[in-house]
Amino acid sequence: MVWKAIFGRFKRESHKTARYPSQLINVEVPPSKKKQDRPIQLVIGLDFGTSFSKVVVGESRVRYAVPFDDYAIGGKAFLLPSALCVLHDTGECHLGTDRSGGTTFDDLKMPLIERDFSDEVKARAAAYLALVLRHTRNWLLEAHRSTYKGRKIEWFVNVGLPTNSFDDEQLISAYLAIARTAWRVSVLPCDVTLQKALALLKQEANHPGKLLQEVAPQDLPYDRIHAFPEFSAQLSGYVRSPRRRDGLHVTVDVGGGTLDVTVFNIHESNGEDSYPIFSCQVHRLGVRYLTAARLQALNKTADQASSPFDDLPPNDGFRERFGITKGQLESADQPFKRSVADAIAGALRYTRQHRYPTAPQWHRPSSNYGEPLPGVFCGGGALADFYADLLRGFEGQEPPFRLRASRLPVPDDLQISGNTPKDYARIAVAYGLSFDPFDIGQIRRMSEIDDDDANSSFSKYEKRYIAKEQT
Amino acid sequence: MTEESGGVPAIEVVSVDDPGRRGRIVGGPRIRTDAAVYRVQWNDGFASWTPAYAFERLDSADEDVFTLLEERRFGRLNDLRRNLTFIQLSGRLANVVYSMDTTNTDFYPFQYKPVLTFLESPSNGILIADEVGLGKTIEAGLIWTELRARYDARRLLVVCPAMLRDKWVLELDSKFGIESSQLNASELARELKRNKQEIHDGRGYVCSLQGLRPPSGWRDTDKRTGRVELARLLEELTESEPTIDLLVIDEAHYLRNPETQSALLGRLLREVSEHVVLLSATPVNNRAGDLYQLLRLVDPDSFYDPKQFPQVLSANEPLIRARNLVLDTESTASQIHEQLQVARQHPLLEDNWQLQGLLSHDLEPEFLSEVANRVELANRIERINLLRHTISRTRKVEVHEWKVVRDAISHFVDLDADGPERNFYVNVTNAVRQYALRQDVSEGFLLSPPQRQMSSCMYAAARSWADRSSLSDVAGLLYEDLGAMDSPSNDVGPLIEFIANEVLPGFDIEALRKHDTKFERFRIIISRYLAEHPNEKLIVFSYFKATLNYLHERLSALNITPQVLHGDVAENKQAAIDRFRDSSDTRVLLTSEIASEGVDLQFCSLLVNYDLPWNPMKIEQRIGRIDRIGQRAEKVLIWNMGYADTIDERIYRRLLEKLNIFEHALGGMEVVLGELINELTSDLMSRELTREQEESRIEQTYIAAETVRQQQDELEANAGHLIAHGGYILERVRAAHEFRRRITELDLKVFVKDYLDRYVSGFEFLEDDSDPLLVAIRLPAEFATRLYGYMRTAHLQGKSRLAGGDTIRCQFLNKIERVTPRLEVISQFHPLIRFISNDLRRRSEAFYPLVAVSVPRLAAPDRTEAAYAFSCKRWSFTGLRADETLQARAIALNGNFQLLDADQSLDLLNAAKVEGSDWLSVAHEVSLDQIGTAFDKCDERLQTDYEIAKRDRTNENRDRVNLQQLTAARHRDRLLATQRELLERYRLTERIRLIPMTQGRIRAIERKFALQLEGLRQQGEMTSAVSDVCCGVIRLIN
Repeated sequence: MVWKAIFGRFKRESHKTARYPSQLINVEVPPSKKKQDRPIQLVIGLDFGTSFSKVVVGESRVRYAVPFDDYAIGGKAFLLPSALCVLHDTGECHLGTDRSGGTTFDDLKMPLIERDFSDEVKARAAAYLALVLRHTRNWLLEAHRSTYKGRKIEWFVNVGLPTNSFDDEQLISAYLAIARTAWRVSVLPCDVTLQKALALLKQEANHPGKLLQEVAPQDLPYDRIHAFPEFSAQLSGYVRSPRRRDGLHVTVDVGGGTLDVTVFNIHESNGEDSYPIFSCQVHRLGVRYLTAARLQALNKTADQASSPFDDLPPNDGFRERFGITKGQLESADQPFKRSVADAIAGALRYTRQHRYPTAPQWHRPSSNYGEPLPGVFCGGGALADFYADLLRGFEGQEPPFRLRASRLPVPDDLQISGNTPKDYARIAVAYGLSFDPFDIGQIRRMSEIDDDDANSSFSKYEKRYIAKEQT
Repeated sequence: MTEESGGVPAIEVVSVDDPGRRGRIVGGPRIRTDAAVYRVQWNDGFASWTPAYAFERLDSADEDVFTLLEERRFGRLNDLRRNLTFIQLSGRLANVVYSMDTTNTDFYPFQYKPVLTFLESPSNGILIADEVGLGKTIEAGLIWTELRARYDARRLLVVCPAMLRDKWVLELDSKFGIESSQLNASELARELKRNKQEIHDGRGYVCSLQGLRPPSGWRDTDKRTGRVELARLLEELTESEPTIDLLVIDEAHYLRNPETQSALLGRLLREVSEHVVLLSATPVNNRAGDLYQLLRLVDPDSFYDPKQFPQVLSANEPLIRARNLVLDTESTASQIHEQLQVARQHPLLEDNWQLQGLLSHDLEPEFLSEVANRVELANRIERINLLRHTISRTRKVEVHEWKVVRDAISHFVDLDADGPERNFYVNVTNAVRQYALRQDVSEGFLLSPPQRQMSSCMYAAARSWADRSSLSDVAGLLYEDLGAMDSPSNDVGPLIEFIANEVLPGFDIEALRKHDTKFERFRIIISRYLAEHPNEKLIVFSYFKATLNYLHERLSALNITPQVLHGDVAENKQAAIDRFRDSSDTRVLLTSEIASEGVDLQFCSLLVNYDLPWNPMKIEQRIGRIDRIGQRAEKVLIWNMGYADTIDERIYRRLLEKLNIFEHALGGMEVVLGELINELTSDLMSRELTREQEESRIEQTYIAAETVRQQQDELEANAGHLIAHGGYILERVRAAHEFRRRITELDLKVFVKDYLDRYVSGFEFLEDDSDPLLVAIRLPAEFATRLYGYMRTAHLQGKSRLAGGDTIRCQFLNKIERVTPRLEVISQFHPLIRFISNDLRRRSEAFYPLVAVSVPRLAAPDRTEAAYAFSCKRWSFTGLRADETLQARAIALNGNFQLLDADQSLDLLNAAKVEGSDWLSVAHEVSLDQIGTAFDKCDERLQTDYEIAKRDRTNENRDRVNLQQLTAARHRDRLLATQRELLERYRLTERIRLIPMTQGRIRAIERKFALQLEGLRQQGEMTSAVSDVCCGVIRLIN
C-alpha cells in the first residue's frame, strides 16, 4: 500500500489519464489572467512535537519559519513549547505556560502516541493546534501583508506524524480529525475553548461534512488537510537540493529521547519521490540518555545536568562544567558510544545481509567520490559533538559500515531569523511539510519489501501501487 | 512549445508569481477541490505539482517590461544575477576587470593600474616602471590573466636575467596557474616554429636574456648556433602574424642601450609579439634617452624617431597644464580653454578629434561647478595625453598599503690595537695596495675583493686564501656589485695569490677564529632576538660562501641550526626558501646575494647585513626582500655589522648613512651609482691614502650620489610630463573591487547550473555536504561530446576532464588553478564556462527583464533613499577595438526622481546582485506609475549617456586610427628601409643567394601593410549598438 494514499482523499487520476505528453496537448491551462486575480497556494507545515512545535508556511518562491516571539523559549523564536494554558474562569485557551489563573497542559502529544484517543486528549490537541494555526495566519498576513494583499489564499495544512507509527491507522485518523477540528476552531470569530473544540470534534465524528454555519465558509476541503510521516517530510529539503543522491541512504535521527536509525532508498517513480524502507529501528539512545549515562559514569548528580530540551553542550563545555579531563569523558562515554555504534552498524549489517545485499554501496569504492553510503544526520541532537564524532568515525570504515556523514542542507528558500544549520535540524520536518501534499515523498513500509528482493522492488512497486481512491 | 524526446510537443508554462521561472508540464492533471494540479518540470531543475492557477502558457506571457510592470510580474534576485552574470561572462566588458581576485595574489589596487592602462593602450604595450618591491611580476601576470580572459591568448614569453628564471616559473605556476618551462634559444626557436593554434591555452616560456641574445655578426656568420638560428627566425617571422601573444621583458633597463645585442633582441622579439610588457624600476630616473629607448620597444611606431620624443613631451605639456587647471576648482573655463588651444596648435595634436571635441563645446561655469564634472573632464583630457597608455609607474610613497618603517642599527666592533684581527687587517690592506702599485692595477672590482672578504670574516677569508678556494666567484659577485651584468673576464686569482704569499706565512689563522669579535657580537644579538621573538625568523646576508659556511658551522655548534643558501647549494633557490619559510625548527637563513633578487622574504622582519656591499643599490636590493608588499610587521629591522675604524666603516658612515639608504628606499640610480662606486673603490684600493684622505674621497662620492638623487627627485617632480596621472585609473580599480564588478564563485555555479537545467538533460550535479561550491558533475554523453568538440577547436584539450563524461569532482572557485586528478577548479577560464558563454551567445535568448530585489543598507552605504528604480543596458562599440560596457542608471523613487550617476548606479546593481534578496511584496509597496516614470527617466538618461559615449568613442577611434595609419606607414617604411639596405649590402658583397629572398621579403612587407592600412581605413568608421538588459527596483533594508 502506498503510504500517502490513506491520508487524503484526493480525486486522483494520475494512473488513468494525462500521464504522457501526447495527452497533455489539450490540457486546460487557464488563459492569461492578471496575477492579482489568481489565487495563491500557501501550505502550513505543522510539526507537532512532544516538547516543541514548529511551523513553516510555504509557497512556490519562499518558505517562512513562523516566529512565536511571545511564547518562544531559549532565544529560538520558531520553537513553540507544546503546552496549552486553559483559564479557569472562562475556559479560554492560550499558548504558553505563564498565565495565572489557568491550568497548563504540556503533555499534548504523548497521550496520542500512547494511543489515548479520548475526547479530552484530542480536544486539548485540537485547541492547541487551533491557536497555532490562528497565530500562523495572523503573523503571515501581518508580516507579509504587502506580499499577499488582495490575493485569494488557498490554504493547505500538513501535519507531521511520528516516524515510528507509520502504519498506525487509528493514530493517523485521530491526527486528521484533530487537524480538521483545529482548523475549524481557528477560523471561528471567537476565543478558542476546549468546549468548542470538543463540540466540533464530535460533529466531525458523528456528522462528517455537516458543519456549523459559521465555520462552513472558511472551512478547508478534505483534500487540503493531510498528515505525513515526519521521516519523509524531513527529506523534502534534501531531495530538492543539488546534494540529492538516489539510492541507498541511512538516516540517524537524534532526538531528546530516541535515536532512530533508518536505512532506505531514495528513488523516483513516475516523477514522484518514494522512500522504500529496509530497516527502521528506534533506540533509547537520544541526548537525554547520553547525558544520564555520562552523569552516572562520572558519579555526578542529575541536577548538574541541563534540561533535556537544552542543547547538549559541546564536549569541551561539558568537561569544563564538570571539571573532568578529556580522557575521563572518553572513558565515561565508552559504553554508550558502543551502544550507538552497534545500533547503526546493526541496521547496516541487517540491511546488507537480509534486505538489500546487492546495493552498490556495499562494495569498495572505485573512486573517492560518491560511493560511500550517504548518512544523513538529523534531529535536534544532530550537532552534539558526541554523535557527530561518532558518525564521522564511520567514514573511515570498510563497507558495509562506510558512511559519508552529512547534515541536512539548509534550503535556499527558507526564511528564518538566525538561520544556522543547527536551527535547520530542528525545523526540517516543518519545512518538508510546507510543500504541496503531492510533492512530499512517499514511504514504503518495511513490510512491503521482501527480504533479499530489494532489486526488483521498484518494478513490483509499480504493480502494487494503490491509488488513494482505491483505499 | 518544445519537443519532448518522443517528438511530442510539451506545453511550456511560466509561473505567475515567479515569472522568471519557466517549465513544461510533464504530468497530471490530478483533480483537487477547485483546481486541477499538474506536474511541472521547472527550468531550475526541480519538478513540482502545481495548481493550474499558479502558471500560464508561455506563449501567452508578455515580455515587454511595461506590460509586465502593469501586471506586477516582478522577477527575483536570480533573474538579476542571470542577466548580469551572462553578460559579464560572455562579453568583454570594458568596465569589468576579469583578472581581479582570480589569481592567487593578495589584492593591492595599484597592481591593477598597469592592467587597466594596458587594456587601453593602442600600441598593445606598456612599460611598468614601479619602484622595487611593488610586485611588477604580479602586475605582468595580471595582464596575462586579463588577456587570457578577453582574447584567445596562448603564448607568453618571459625574458629575464638568468637568475630570475626559477622565480618566474614558480610564480607563473603558483600565482597564476600558468604552466611554463625554461627554454634556451634553440628550444624557443623550435617552439616558435609551431603553429600558435596548436599551443595549449595560456602556455608560458621563460628564457634568459643572455641565453637568447644574438651574437654580434649573427647575420653574416656561418655558425648555426641556437642564438643565431633564433635571431634569423625572428627576423623571418616579422612579416607574419604575431606569434607571441605577450612578451614580458623583466629588468628591461638592460635593453636601454640601443647599440647592444640585448636591445637588438628586444627589437626582434617586439616585431613578432602582439603585446609587450616591459618591467623596470629604473627607466625614469636615468637619462631621458634611456627612457626613450624603452618606449621605443613598447611602441616602436610612435617612438620611431628619437628627435620626435621631445615633441611628444612638449605636446603633452599644455594638456597636463589644462588637466591640472581642471582639477583646481578655482580655475576658470577660459584658462582651461586657453591651454587646450595651445595644445591644439601642436603639430602632433592639430588633427586630434578628441581635442576638437573638447574645444567645440563651451565650458559652462555651471558645468565646472560640479566636482564630478571636473574629474570627468580631467579624465577626457588625460585620454589625449600621448604617453598615457605607454607607461605606468607607482612609487612606494603613493602606495597606501605601504606603511612599513625601516629601523637600522649598526653593530661595528672595535679591533684590538695589537690583537690578531688588527694586524691581519692592516697587513692585507697594505698588501692590496702594494699589489696595485706593482702591477699597475686600478680597477676597483679587481682590488676590492680581498678587502671586502676580510671585512666580512677574517678567519673565513684567511682560510679560503690559504686553500686558494672560491676565487673566481668572488670576483663575479663584486663585479655585479659595481653595476654590470656580465662577469669580468679577468680574474682576481693573482691578487689572492699575492696576499697569500705576503701575509699568510707565519700568521696564526686559528687565532682569528678564537678572537672573532664580530661573530661574538653577532652571536649575542641574534641569540637575544631569537629568545625574545620565539615566532620570528631572520635572514643573514653575506657576500661570501666562506663566511656563510663559517657562520653555519659556528651557529650549529650553538644549537641554532641555520639553513644556508648560496650558489653551490644544489637545491633550487625557491624550494630552499619555501623550506625555510615552512620549517618550524630552522629560524636563521644564511644567504648570499642569490636571495637578494627575485625572491620574497617578507615573512621575516629582521635582516642582518653580516657584511656590507659598498654599492647602496645592492643594499637596497637586500632590504627590498623584506621591505616589500606583503610585509605584515609594522617595522623591519636592519642590523649592519662591520669593524670599526676600517674603510668599511668610513663608507658606511660617510656614504651609506648620509644617503639615508637604510631608512628610505632609494629610487633607481643603479647605473650611475655603480660607476661612482667603481671609481671610489679604485681610488681607495690602489692608492696609499690616510684616513682623512679616504674620508674626503668617500665624501666626494657622497656628493656625487646626492646630486644624482636630487636630479632624480626633480625628474620625479616633473614626472607628470612623462606619465599621465593614474589617480583616475586607481579609483576605477578600487571601485571595481569594492563594488564587486567581477565574477564571484556563486555566479559561476548559478551560471553553470542554470544552463544545465535549461538546456541539458541527464546530467548530474551533486553538491558536496561540506561545501556548496564543491560539486560532482557528470555530463551526459551528447553534451560531453559537444564540449569535447569545442575544446578541440579551441585547443583547450587537457583543461577539463568533464568532456570524458565521467563524474568529476569540481570546485567553483574563481581562481586560476591547474587541473588535478583530485579536484577540478571551475573558474571563469574553464572550458565549460567558455563553452556555455558561446552557446548562450549563439542562442541569444533573453532572460527575464523585470526584477525586484532588496539590499541590506550595509551593502550600499552611500544610498540614502528607501528605494530606487534602474534600467540596465549593454553598449557595444566596434571600431579599432571591439568592446562592450554594461551601463545602468538608477533613480530614487522618492517623488524627486533624483538620478544616480553611472558608476553609482552600476555599484547599486552589483551590490544587489551580490548581497540582495527577493523583494516579493514590491507590487504593493511602490506605486507602479512611479516605477514606470522612473524607468522612462532612466532610459532617457541612458540614451543621452549613450550618445555622449558614442561621440567620445568615435573621436577616440578616429584619433587612434589616424595615429595607427601614420605609424603603420612609418613602420612599413622602416622595415622596407632595413630590407633595402640589406639588399644593397648583399648586392655589394655579391651574396647572390640572399638577394631573391630579400626581394621576396620586401614584397611581403608591402602586401602586408597594404592590407593593414586598408583594414585601418575600414575600422575608422565605428559602429555601435545598444541592447536592453533588464529593469527593476531595488529597496534598501536594514
